Amino acid sequence: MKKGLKIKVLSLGVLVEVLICLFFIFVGILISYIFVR
Amino acid sequence: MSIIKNNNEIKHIFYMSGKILTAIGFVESISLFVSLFYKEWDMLFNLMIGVGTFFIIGFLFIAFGRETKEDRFTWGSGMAMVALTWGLSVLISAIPYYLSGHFASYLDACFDVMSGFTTTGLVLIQDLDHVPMGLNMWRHLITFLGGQGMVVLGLTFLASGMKGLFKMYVGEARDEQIFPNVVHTARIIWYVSLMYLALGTIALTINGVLIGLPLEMAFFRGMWMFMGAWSTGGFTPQSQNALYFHSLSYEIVSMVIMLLGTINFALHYTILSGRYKESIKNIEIKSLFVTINSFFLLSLFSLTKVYNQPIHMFRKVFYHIVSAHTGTGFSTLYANQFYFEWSDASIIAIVMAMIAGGSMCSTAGGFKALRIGIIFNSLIDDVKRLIRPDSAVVVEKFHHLKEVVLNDKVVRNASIIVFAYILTFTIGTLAGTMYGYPIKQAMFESASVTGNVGLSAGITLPSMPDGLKVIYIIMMWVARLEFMSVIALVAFLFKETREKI
Repeated sequence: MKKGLKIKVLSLGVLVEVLICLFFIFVGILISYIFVR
Repeated sequence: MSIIKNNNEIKHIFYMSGKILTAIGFVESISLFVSLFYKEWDMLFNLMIGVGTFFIIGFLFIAFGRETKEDRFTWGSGMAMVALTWGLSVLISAIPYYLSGHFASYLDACFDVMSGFTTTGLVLIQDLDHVPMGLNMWRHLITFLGGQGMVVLGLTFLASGMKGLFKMYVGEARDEQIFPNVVHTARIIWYVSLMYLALGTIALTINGVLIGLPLEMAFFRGMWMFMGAWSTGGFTPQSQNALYFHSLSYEIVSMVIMLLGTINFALHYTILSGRYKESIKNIEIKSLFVTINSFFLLSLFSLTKVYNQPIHMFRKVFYHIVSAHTGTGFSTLYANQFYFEWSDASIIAIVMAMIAGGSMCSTAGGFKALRIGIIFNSLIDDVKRLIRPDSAVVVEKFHHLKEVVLNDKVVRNASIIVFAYILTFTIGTLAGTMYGYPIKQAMFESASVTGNVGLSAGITLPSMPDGLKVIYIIMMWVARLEFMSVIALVAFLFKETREKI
């Protein structure tokens, strides 16, 4: 298992995943501000 | 022909079940220490009874059972083992719940435990705001365990090198392997979850302190809220759910955790091991992006008179669409507000979001983003076929970790599960209406149960009819295990009974 385990805590991968989620949320905020006035 | 071939297989099922029950007993022991730390002597005693029962039944099963040396371990055996272990775990886990005095009946306690293990999040607990710390710890451990899967737990720590492991793993609706070895796959699932548990708890604790909670309270609430969000379970330690915090930052952090929880573990591993481009190419991410925003737009246009400020629209509608779509069930509204404030169109949108669910091999429920993507792609493919010349031969593909050919078998498998979910949702809605609830409420609650979500429109209360509680328990169970395991167990019991008669 250790041979195949490549992930690291606090790697760039965690940041990429969090950024994807924040992008989803950002689009939600954007849609709210575009369509609700 | 019986789905379980011989006595050796039955003994092996008991042996494996015994090991997993023992493992759950060890996990429950964590809540013993919390009760001990807070000097909750009554709760400590209740939890000791629960832990003891897990160990006694686990050891009895191990003693009665035997590890099979045969290679032929049938799919039926693997799936029946999963369903049996889930059923027994619920009955035993409910003991400290019931003894705590926070439940009107043992059935209510079983409902809450099933809701936790299936990461649904609907609760019948009474006086939630005064529940002992030890019981709260056990409630959230159950939902965290259920998110990863209790068989995955057993495989991670106890089952290396045994027969039939892959069949049990699949029986728990985990049909993607990260490594060729299923035990390694199970360990990766726990590694990713525990890594995010540490990071998420730190983020929520800091957030809690910044909004004015004492450090100790911020830590425990942060950890439990993480467990509820990551497992897409939706359990919270307070009756006001996520509304308790009244904090935009807390809502955004919890949304990030909900979305992280709904990502496929195979995709987590791919991204965390350095293949970042997969995050934008993957069919599940694209499918989730399209459906979340489509359901949000549908709700938005029908709720502009209720929420006429952009920030309110984001916090009250987008938040609930994300919560529903990821199968979490965190809420910043009271249950009756859905029924009285939300329009019919927005209820339909959130119902569809609840049934659609998150990713395959994630902690989320519903019929999953991958299946939506497959069915949508096959629809496009069929339309293309109509306009192409007959002689043209084109192989359609979609990207999920690698290029996958879109053939009839893939589409059929996806369609069967989607059909099963829609059928279960329809049965649940019918049951609700037959017990006298309005169709809007019955539909909402049925979608919440079928998609293992946990949002409520006001039906799930201790005063609801016992028959409906039993129906919802069964629906949560079959939907979490994606039908096949429970069908295998029922078929096995039916066959054995008929042969004896």
